[in-house]
Amino acid sequence: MSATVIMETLRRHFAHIAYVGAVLLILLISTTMAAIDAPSGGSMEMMRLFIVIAGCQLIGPEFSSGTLQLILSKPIHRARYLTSRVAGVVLALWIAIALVYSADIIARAIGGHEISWRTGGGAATASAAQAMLICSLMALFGSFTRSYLNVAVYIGGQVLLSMIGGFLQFISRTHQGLFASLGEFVRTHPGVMKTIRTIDQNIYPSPPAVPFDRNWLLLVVSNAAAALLLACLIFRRREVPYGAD
Amino acid sequence: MSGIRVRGLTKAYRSIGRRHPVLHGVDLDVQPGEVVGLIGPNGAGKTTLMSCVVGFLRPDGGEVTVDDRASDDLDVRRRTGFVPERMNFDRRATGRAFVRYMARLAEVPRAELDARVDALLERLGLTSAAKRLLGQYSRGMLQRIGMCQALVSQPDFLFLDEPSSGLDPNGVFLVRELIAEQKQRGAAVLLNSHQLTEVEKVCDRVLFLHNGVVARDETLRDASRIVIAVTLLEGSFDPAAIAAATGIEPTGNVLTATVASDEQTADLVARIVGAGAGVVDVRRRTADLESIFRGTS
Repeated sequence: MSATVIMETLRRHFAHIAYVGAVLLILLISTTMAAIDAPSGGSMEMMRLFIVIAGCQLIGPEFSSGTLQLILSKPIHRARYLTSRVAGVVLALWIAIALVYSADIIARAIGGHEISWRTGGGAATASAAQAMLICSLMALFGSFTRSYLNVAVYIGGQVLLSMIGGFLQFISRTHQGLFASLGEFVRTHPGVMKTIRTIDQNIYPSPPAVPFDRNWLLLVVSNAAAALLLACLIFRRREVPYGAD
Repeated sequence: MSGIRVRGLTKAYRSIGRRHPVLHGVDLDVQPGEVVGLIGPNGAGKTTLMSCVVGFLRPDGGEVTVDDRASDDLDVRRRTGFVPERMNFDRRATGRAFVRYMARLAEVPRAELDARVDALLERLGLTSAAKRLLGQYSRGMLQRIGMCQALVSQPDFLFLDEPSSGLDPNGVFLVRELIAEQKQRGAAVLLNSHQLTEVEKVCDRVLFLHNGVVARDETLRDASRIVIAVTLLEGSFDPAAIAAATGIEPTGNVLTATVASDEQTADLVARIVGAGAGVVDVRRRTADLESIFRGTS
C-alpha cells in the first residue's frame, strides 16, 4: 500500500465539508441519544448510510473526472493504488466511528448513565468491519462502472436480492395458478432460496445478534478481502480513456 | 536510451453490438531529443493514439514500446510525464500540495522534492498562487500546474495533449520554452495539438492523422528543405505569368515554395519580379502546415 495515497485520501476527507458535516451530525445525534440513555450502540446504525456515501467516491468519480488518468501516468501499480484508496477511506471512517463511540461514552459519563462497554464496543467494531466490506464492495462495483454508478449497483443489488427472496418465498407457497409449477420447483429445490439468502447475507450482512460475534466478524472481513481482491483484478485490466478527439 | 516506438497499432471502441475502428495500423517513432507533433481533424484518432501510447488503452493489434518496454511498465512510468488537455483534481487541494502529491507518486527523492516543486512553480509563474486552492485557479493556471506535475520527475518521455489550450500569450511562450528545454535535455516529446503555429514552432516532425491512419509524416526541421511564403502586391501580377516563370501557382497573393538554400530563395524572388510582380514580403517558414492540413483532411 502507498502511504502517500492513504494520506492524500485522508486529507480529502478532512477537507470535505460533507465529511466534516456528517461526522458532526452523527456526533450530535449520538451525544443526544446517550444523554437520554438510549440503548448503547444505536447511533452506529446511522453509520452505515455514512459509510455508503463515503465509499461511493472511491474510484468511479475519479475515473469520470480524469483524475485517475493523471494518477495512472505515475509509477504506481493499479492494485496498489486501489487498495491504498480503500485503506484511506476505511481509515477516515474508522476515525469517525471512534469519535462517535467516544462521544457516546463521554455523554453517558457526564449524564451519570451506565456505560455498557461491551454493547457499545461491539457495535463500533461491527461498524468498523462493515466499513471495510462496504468500501471493498464500492471499489469492486466502481472497478467496472463510471461516476457514482457503484452506489447504484450496491443499493440496486440489495433491492433486487430482497425482491427475488420475497418472490421465491411467495411462490413457494403457491400450489395452483400461474406459478404453481415454479412453486413446486422452489419447494423441491430448497438450494435456490438458500443460495439467494447466502448471497444476501454475504454482501449485505445484518448487524450481529451478539457483540463481538467472532464468526460474523470473520465472515465480513473475509468477504471484504475477497471483494477487494476481485476489484484489483478487474481494475488491473480496465482501460481508462481520457478526453475525446 | 530508445525512444517511443509504435508499429501497426490498431484500436477500435466497442459499444453494445457495435465496433468503431479508430486506428488502422499506425506507425510512429519519437527519438530521444525529438519533438513530434500529432495533428489532424476531430475524430482522427489523436487522443486514442496518445492514450494507447501512454498505456491508458490496450491496443487491439500492433506494438507499442517506450524504451523497448511496455508503456505501462513502472520503470517507464517513472520516466514519463503526461499533461492532459483538461486538468482535473480535487479542487480543495492547494496548487503546491497537488504538485507535491504528484511528485511523491512519481517517486521524486524526498531530499529534492520541495526544491524541485518550488523551482517548477516559480518557473511556471505560480509561486504566488501556490497556496491557493485548485478550485480558484483559472483554466490557464490549471494548464500550468499540469505542466508542473508532468515535469517534476524530469521525464525522459513527455506526452502533451493540447498543453497551450487556455493559456495567455505569455503562457504559450513559456510552454514553448519548456518543450525546447526538454528536447535539449534529451527527452522524447509527443505533442497533440490543434494549434498549427505552435506545432510548427516547436516540433521537429509532424504526423498528420486522418481517419485513423498516418496520412503524412512531415519533417519540419530539415536544413535542406526551407519553405518560404512570398506575398505579392495585389493587382501587380498575372497568376499565369507567375506560374510560368516559377512553376508554382500562387494562392491568392501568396506564393508558397520549398527551396533548398537562400540562393534558391533569391533566384525565385528574382523570377517573380522578372514576371512583373511586386514583392511585398518574403517569409521563411518551417512548413506550410495549414495547406498540408487542408489538403490532408
